[in-house]
Amino acid sequence: MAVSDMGLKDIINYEFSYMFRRNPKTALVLLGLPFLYTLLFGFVYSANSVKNIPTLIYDQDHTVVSSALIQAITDSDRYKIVAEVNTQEAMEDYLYTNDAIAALVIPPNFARDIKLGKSSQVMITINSANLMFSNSILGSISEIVQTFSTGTGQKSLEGLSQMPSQALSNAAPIRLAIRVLHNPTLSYSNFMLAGMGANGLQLAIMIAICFILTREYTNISHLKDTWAPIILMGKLLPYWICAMISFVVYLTINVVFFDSPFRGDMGSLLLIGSAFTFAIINVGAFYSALAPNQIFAVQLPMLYIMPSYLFCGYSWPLLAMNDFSRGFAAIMPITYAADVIRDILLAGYSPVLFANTAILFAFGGVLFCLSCIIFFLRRRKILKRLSLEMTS
Amino acid sequence: MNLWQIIKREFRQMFVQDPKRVVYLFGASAIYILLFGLLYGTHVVNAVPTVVYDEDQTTLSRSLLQNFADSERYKMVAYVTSQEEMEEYLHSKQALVAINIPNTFSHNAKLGLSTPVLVKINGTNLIITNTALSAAQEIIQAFSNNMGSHLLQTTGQMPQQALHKVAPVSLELRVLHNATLSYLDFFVLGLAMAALQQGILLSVSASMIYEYQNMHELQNVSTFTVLAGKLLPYWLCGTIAFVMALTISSLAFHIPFNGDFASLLALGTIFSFTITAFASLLAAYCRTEVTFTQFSLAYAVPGFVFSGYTWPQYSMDIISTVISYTFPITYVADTVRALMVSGHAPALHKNILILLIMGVILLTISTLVYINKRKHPTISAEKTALSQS
Repeated sequence: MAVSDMGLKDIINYEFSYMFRRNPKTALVLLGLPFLYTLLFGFVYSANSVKNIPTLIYDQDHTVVSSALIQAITDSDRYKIVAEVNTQEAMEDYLYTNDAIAALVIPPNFARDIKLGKSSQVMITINSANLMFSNSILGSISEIVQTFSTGTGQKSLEGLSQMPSQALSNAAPIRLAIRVLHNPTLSYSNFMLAGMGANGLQLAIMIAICFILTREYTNISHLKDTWAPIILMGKLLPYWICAMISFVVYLTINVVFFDSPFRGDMGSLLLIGSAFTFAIINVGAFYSALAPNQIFAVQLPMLYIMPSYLFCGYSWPLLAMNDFSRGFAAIMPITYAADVIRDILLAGYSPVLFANTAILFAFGGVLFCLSCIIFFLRRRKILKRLSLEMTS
Repeated sequence: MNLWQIIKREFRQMFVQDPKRVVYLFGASAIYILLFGLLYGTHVVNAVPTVVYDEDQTTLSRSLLQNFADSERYKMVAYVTSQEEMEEYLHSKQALVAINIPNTFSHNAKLGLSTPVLVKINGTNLIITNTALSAAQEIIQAFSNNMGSHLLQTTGQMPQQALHKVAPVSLELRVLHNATLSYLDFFVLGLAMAALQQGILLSVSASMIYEYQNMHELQNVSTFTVLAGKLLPYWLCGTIAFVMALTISSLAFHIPFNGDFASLLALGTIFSFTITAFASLLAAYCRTEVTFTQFSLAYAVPGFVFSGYTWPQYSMDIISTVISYTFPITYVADTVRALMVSGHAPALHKNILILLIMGVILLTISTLVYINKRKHPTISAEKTALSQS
């Protein structure tokens, strides 16, 4: 386009044609990356929880009672019995080679001690180098052993001529009734996918948008007379539209293919989605306005974006962070979005939806103004240099 | 130019002409360790905000609640007097856990009737849920056993015997290698390895892409000398960065350093080699540094997630498992953690061998591509010019 005074519509058209025709990689990244991320991670976490943990049995008792306890563990889908060994060394060996992650040891005289009314101990050894295993085991093993113990205690009290129901109450006078809200199966994909998709989306936006102004600095003549905010608006709007499409697509895959619950309403999701993409697009534009060249424009965001997912409180909660980390989290747009998106999906609402939406729009708005000023100043400098070259 | 001169030329480029390469190489993993060392500095999630709705208000209910308050896992944020208030705290996320003790609690417990305590946990963030869940189980179980043994003592049993009757089987847990379940020990090493990988990828590619764009500079030097002279400095620096990362994690953040240094060094050397080879091959196809950076950005997160470092390969489906096996970091991250934290890694030798084979294959292909591009310099120059325009 040879016109030097381009209107808003011209710039929008120009940007769309750049995205889809002149450099289709841009549209591909923006629309494809969040889609691909969700698909990939959906498959990774499709098992929902860590099951079939290789478990080893070292039963020194070999009685009906010990077999019953082993059966209780075998019946849980968390554990997969890989071997039964007969010596301490063999057990250590399995654990050492990682062929087993957990080992259950039943001591000799296990059944006899119970019958004699002595306390008996079973031991679980867990290799907890990877916390996923230990969390899964800790969440299930005490329940299994407790149930078994209560049942055994009940029988033992019946031996003291108590009635069965009374014996049970005596053996377990207080019961724990747990209700896990919003994600009762403790599904890992419900927990992780929405945030990883949001992370993919912010990455895609960054990659797609980081040259948006940088590439104009080398060839500024066609934009020399247009008001800076109009240029930025026209350039950013197409990305915002595509980012929103990408947002809807990734969440749809999440819900349709990977059975994520969707308890909230579409309006809330679109609201937080639009605020989030708006903020990220303006972060990208800001970097692009600042960066001295294209390589910087793409490598700078990396420093900012890569740690943000782990800092945003989505997995490691804000309440466990120190002040430094909390401060760092506070300047990341994804902090205000990822948790809200998950809450809307799983719980159906988010108490901070409107507050966070406002923060994100304000954040993006401030960056937009800064980008306009920087672009305006740099353009003036470049044009002055060009006119000097022309006259000399 | 001979090999030594090329190596010197490369070091000059790395440190003087294009210093961002050395920053990536050494800085990426160091910054990641510092950042995430600070992030996970609290090791475990404590002080989960908890609301209490005690309908019973008796000595017994208060003593149970005291057990919860004494546990550092929970932080009592409010004691409420109605169901609605409790729900409101949960709804507004001012509390993530609610403990509700029914009004017949003490009465039933004393009569020997089984009585429930309701614990509601917000399940959206599994890290919090897991913490609250296992702590609640432990507290209630201990309290219940204690209560049961008291009940039996009233029937004339001796205290010790009574306890054995109500809790005939007790559970002893032995958590190996990371006994406090510290997130810092669990997570940070793998993140550092992912960052190191990115650092090597970016710096090697910057170097190789420069070479592909300026092939005339070294056209009289043999292929072997060029590649060896260019890649050796990165291999060496990558290995140093690896050692540096582990040293920082151990000195600054007290991550256990239980493994022997030789095994770690061997693994680090081979990892650095494989990633260097990988980068030199990718660089041949990514004509510009910008394209390469975009690729490496998109690769970083899946590279880490698929490595089996957090979500174990046992629990992956077949597609994910296959993808996982093609990523070099799969053979490193988990092994480094095992060596550091538990002192031994059963798969060490196997993994070193796999990485070595991967590296040799990648380097061979990369060399062939380089030779091919040398034979047809015009094509690659045109392509570069095209992509730069």
